[in-house]
Amino acid sequence: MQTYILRRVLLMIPTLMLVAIGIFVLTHLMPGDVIMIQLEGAASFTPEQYESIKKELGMDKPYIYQMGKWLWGLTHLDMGNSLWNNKPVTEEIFSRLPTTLQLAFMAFIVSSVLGIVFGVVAAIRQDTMLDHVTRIFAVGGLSLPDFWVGTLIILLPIIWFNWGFQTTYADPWEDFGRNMQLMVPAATAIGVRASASVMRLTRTTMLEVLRNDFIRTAHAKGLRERMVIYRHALRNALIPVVTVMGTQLSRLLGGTVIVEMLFAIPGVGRLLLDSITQRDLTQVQGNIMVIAGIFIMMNLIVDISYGFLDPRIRYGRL
Amino acid sequence: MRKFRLLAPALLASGMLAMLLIMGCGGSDDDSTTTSTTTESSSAASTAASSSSSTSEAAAETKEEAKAEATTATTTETTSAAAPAATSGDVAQPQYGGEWTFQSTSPRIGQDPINTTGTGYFYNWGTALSSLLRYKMDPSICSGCYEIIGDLADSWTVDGLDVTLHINPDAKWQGSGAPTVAGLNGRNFTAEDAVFGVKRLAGEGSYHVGYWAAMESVSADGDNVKFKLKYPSATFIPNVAYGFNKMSAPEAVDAGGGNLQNGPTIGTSGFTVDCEVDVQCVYTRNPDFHLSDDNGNQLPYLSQARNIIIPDVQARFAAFRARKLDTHGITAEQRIIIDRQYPEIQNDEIKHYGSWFIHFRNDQAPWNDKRVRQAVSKSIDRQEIYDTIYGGLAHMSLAMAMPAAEAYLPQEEFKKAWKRDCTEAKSLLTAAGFPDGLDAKFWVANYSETTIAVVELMQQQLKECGIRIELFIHDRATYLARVFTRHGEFEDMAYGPQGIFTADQWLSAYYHSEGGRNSSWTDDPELDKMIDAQRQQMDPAKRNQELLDIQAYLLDQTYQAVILTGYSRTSHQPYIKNYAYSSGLDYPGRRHVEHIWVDKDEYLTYRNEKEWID
Amino acid sequence: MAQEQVIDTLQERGNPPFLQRFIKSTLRFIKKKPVGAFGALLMIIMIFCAGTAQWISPYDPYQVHPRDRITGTFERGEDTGNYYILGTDEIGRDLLSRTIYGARTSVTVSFLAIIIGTTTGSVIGMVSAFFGGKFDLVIQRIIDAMFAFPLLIFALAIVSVVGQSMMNVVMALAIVLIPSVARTVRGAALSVMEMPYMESCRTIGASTFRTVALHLMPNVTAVIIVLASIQLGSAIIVEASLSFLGLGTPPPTPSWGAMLSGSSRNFLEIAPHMAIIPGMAISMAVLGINLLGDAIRDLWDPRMRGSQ
Repeated sequence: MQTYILRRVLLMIPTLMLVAIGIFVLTHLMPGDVIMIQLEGAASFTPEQYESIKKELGMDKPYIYQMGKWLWGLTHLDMGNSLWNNKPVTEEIFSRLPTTLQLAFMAFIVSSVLGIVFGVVAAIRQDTMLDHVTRIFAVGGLSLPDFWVGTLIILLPIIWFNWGFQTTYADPWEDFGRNMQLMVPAATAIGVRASASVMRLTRTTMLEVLRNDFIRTAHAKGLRERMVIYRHALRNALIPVVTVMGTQLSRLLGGTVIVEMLFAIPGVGRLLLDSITQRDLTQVQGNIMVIAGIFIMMNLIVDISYGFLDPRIRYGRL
Repeated sequence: MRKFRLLAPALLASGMLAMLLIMGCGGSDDDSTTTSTTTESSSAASTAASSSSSTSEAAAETKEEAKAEATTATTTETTSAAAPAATSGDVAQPQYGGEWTFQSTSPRIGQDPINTTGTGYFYNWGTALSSLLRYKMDPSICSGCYEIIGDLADSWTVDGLDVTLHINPDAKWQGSGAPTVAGLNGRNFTAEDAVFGVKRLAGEGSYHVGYWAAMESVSADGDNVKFKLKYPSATFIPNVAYGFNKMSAPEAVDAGGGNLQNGPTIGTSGFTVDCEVDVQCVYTRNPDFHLSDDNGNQLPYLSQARNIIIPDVQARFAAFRARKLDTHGITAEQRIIIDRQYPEIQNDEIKHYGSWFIHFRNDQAPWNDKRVRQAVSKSIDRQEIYDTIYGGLAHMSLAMAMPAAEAYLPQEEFKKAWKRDCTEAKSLLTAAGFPDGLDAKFWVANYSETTIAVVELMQQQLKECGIRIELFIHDRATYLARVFTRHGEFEDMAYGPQGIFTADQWLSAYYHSEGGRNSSWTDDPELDKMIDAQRQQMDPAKRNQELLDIQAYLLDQTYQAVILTGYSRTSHQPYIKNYAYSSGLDYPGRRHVEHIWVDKDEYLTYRNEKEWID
Repeated sequence: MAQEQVIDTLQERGNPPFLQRFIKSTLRFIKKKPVGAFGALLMIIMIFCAGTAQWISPYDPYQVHPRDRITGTFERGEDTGNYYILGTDEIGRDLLSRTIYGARTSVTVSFLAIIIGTTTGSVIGMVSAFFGGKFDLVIQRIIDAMFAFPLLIFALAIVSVVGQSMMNVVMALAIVLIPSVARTVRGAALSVMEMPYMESCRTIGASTFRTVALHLMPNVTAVIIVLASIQLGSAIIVEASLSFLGLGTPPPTPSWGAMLSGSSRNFLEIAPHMAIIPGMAISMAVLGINLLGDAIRDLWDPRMRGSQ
């Protein structure tokens, strides 16, 4: 077990390096540059002016040098300064990361609660009207893009009650009410969509478990239905669900982009989107790197915890 | 049970359909009526046009709507908001206090005024700063004209190559409320400060060097700032007053470590600023501001202003309807809803001179043939575009802000020259050697959905006249780097926006063969000569005439085909007073927050709250 | 299950004509999986629309009628007098025709992306599992690295690099799909490799190609198909989200995503049909794909046999 964990941690290093190189290549292939966007409002400019700005931003160096600098910086968590506002990239990301984590976590709770409750209900009432309704709603949830759900969440209250959501974000420890007013609808918009897959998985594993011998034994012992389901079936059914949800939590981190934009939440996703449109390449690199790093780390944790949860898993060839 | 199982999915599906319908309609149970009303009102009422995001937004941030401030015309029947200084006595007197909330783009931007050209900066950090001179904002200023007045300098003289500005003795750097910097807080603004500020703007690393090209040297002399020019320039004083050219303090630059990218932002305007990145900027009244209104009341009136950052158009409009925003740049569709449901809201529509236009590759065949360019221009039914997509609200111009109203070519000239005429377009093409029409590539800068709609409409209009275009959609960054630069790298044609520039800036940048924005590869010695001549023409009347001649020449040559010049359309809540100003020319510092005031009683009634900031 | 059915029928009835067999198994499928059959019906409608768009759509989807703009559903245009069953959009194009053509775009984009993405991903996954060792280790690191990119951002970056065109959107979606497919298929292939019959293959000295093609591949096909059916839905959604961010299928090609996310959001209150129609189309398509996918999974996954 220990060797397995050590091996996995060591293998993370080449993966992270590949991610870093991939990010650099991808961002530097994007057409357009930050200087021209900054000069957008200038009627005229000279080539010398352009070159001097380029030099100032360090963009005149050869790509291989820039890549080396980026990779070297990563080893001691220095991702350079933003090309757009000259602030350290890490500072901006880490000041916003808690917000996105909160949003992702809340969305995760929404999706887990909805997903598991409806999944269990659908499984134990298999093939009834209730099962069909929940399943179709689950798939319906999958079929609505989150920008669409978000738009409706914003628009319907204003159309029906002429009431609008809070417009300015506040950190939860500053003003909890204001924070929740923005975060709850935003988390719902993401969570409803994400709950669909949790629900489907819960239903499937629950059905599998319910057909097992030990459930029959439990029934035969004369346990009450409720007891059988909660004590025996659900516990076993949730093992794969939990691991999938772990992956999902990290996926949600990258999936908050559109909702953060809709609800004006100053998170990492919105920063990333802004940086892409502004071609603030250092910021884009840093942002994707952090999201990808968290994702890789989460996956590792999920994989390891899977072993603890289910002793049948062998670690031979993973 | 078995039968039921077959039936269930069908039932459920229809149930879901119904649910979706209800959700989508927003509960309006009669959607056919809704739409037909729409059609009527959009043709009848002069409901408006563009998302301002597409027209006015040329040089602005993507999807930024709330710029655009206002002019004389208040289009609804509600009580018009007039300037407190206006002569008419029936206008309410301005009140001090209160808060005004508006919306603009993110303040996630460097804080150094010399390193930015985006409106995003000037509506955020830049509001704390001011320039030596400014453009007058008053209902008496006609749309498209401007008048320069004093700000940090209270008077100026031009004598050939010598320009002297006298610094306002009341001008002070912000003290209370602004970040603390040793030696700066609250001290007077001096001529040395002005020299420092100008040298920064004209020095290395500044993005605004172009405005100071005519300047030979600058020095301080007591209360005066003396400029020495290289050549006589009609545009020097207008450039000093131009919104980009904000003054910064030497102590602040030192405190920022040689630049102001990360602050501190300490200015000389009526408000100190504090921004929470991507959330909001809060502006607090500067009690020591040096300007007063015409009745001697000290400006600004507001106690506080807040700039709330909402990136999404729908969310923004929802906030405005819920009265969480006091002003809002609206789209044609939103105007329909406002007219229908919110009669108390006031609307402003003002002409501006930012445009959308087609670049041609003037250096390549067939675009080096005037007839082909004219054929394209003739094939486009501009009025149809205005009516369909901009609710009729767009005007024709060559997209340059002229120094005086007399220097604008009249609308009739444009209407005549740009009238759609397929037959003539076809015969022009035949004469140029394309009897079967022409296939061309068409670059599009995708700024918003409105752009796309315009281009789709244009594609059909061109097709009807024998010009078949293939669309290539690119985003803003790509457009700016590849097309909107000297010698643009595109094929055949490109469609994109342009900011609001003065005639001289735009002519020398775009049409001059040496221009830094000569994206359409124009190289016309005769035109170059005309452009250089008007810049040095110090007699205003003669210069107006020269500008008119240039416009007529351009109208004929069609080096670029201007499709539309826009209107800024804003709506504001009824308790916001004195909001209407001429757009004038001081883009991008167009909105002078100092003059806005809030009617306390109306504010409390409409907002339905007790809160009032004194 | 499907194979067994066929074998059953063959044994019972001799060798009935193909059509008859087809109808029989279809009926059985409907009886057994009504929800799945409903999904299949939706899919068939979508594919039918995509295939016959030029014949069944009432108008040219590109034809602009400026003075017929935002005509409501079941109304005549003011200018041309055309009868628009589903109304028109903001520049007066027939929404029914655009929705039908949009099916073509969606089918092309999503199916092509899925086919390319799943095939590539599966091949990578299987080959990686089969050869194992260093090769597997390297491939897995690359796949892990790709997997770590946020989905939408990855697609967004690819489209902005290669430029906006329908094929580029397809390629972007395909590339985005590869890592998850490769991982899943590799997992499935690894478990198949443990099976005794794979051992037998090796013992009798079957060639690598033969082992992979005839023994490994058929046994992971079920997983691939199920995966593809689930991804198909998300491909449509991601395409729509790309359109929302201005980087989807380029105009004027009718695409549901662009129709839903473009101007229709601005017209939500005054002309809700502009958003509802493409929104419904997307919902129905994704619904159909998922219901069908569930049913296929239930039938093919041996562990799910006997459950619904």
